[in-house]
Amino acid sequence: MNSVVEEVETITILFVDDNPDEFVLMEWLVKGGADQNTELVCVTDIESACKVLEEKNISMILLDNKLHLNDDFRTSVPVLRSKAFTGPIGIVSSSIEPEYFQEFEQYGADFRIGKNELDRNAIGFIIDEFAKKDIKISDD
Amino acid sequence: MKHQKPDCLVDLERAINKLDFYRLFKCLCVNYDLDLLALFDMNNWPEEASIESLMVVVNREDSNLVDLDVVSIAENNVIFQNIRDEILHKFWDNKTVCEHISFCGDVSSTVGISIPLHTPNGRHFGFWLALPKSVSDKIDHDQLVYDCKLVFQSFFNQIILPDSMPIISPRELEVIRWSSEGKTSVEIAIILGLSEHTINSYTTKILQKLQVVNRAQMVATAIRMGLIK
Repeated sequence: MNSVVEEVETITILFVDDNPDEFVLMEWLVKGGADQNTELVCVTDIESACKVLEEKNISMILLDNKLHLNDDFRTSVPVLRSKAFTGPIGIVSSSIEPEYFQEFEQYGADFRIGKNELDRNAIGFIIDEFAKKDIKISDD
Repeated sequence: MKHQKPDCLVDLERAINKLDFYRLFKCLCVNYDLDLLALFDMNNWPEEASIESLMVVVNREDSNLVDLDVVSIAENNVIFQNIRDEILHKFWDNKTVCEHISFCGDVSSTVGISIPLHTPNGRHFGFWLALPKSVSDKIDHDQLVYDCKLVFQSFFNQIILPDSMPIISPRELEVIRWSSEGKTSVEIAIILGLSEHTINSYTTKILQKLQVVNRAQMVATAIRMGLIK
């Protein structure tokens, strides 16, 4: 058995979804999926998300695609980026089929995933891949 | 026999980043009821005992028990010898799996399939698939291997190959330009409206492509190559 010792850090995830029922599920997924300390902060709209960004040190945002009827991540991600948030943003949606999802990187998002694809393993993978600050680049 | 792309791989052409490929590999695991799928970089084995995994998808409850980011494999491991040195995939019974794959958690009722992958430019990769014996008896092994190779082909083209090709993309060029202005990753992320993770990924790729080790060398090399003025 090979074991890798990793630095313990707290990953604070901001989850933005207009359906509070999703919070319960996400909390369960994050608790079981992460192998380090995690904190989940849940809000239902972009305005509240922006406030949280001002108050807390957020490691990653999971963003529901359609928070309003006529808006999607193409409007909401730039709003979050305008708050100087430089952490990863992932789009979570019941359907990631629409063609515009293919352009997620251009709008400042880091990944997209279907709600039906989210399980503890997927959350663990997302945290490992995006939220852990393991890429260090020397300046000199 | 002609193989067909399964329904679960409809997103294959749309996959861009590692999570997209995780989703595709997970689809394969669910579709075939695999316990585990691991994709290994075999290029340094057996000269080095440790093997880095490029992708690990666990499709069972005790996933926390499995840590396969880097595994240490003995030189005489017959399963990994197959992956490194042979061409055809191979089925492994429970006895052999118990003997050679002890790092995968509980394998008491598990059988496995190893799939060697060799690229035209002489690089070596391979899959290790673990599945219950009862499942293995029911599924079409050839189709499973075909599907895994199909996803790997795309993974290689999208994820592995661009990292090793000395072609600087327009986005990477922007990162070099802002780095030459003395901006940090966070500052560049804010300027470009991207995440620090993305900027660091771009920078890492640039360092590999230019074969340099830090930002200062990156900028100096880019100036020498005429990439920036």
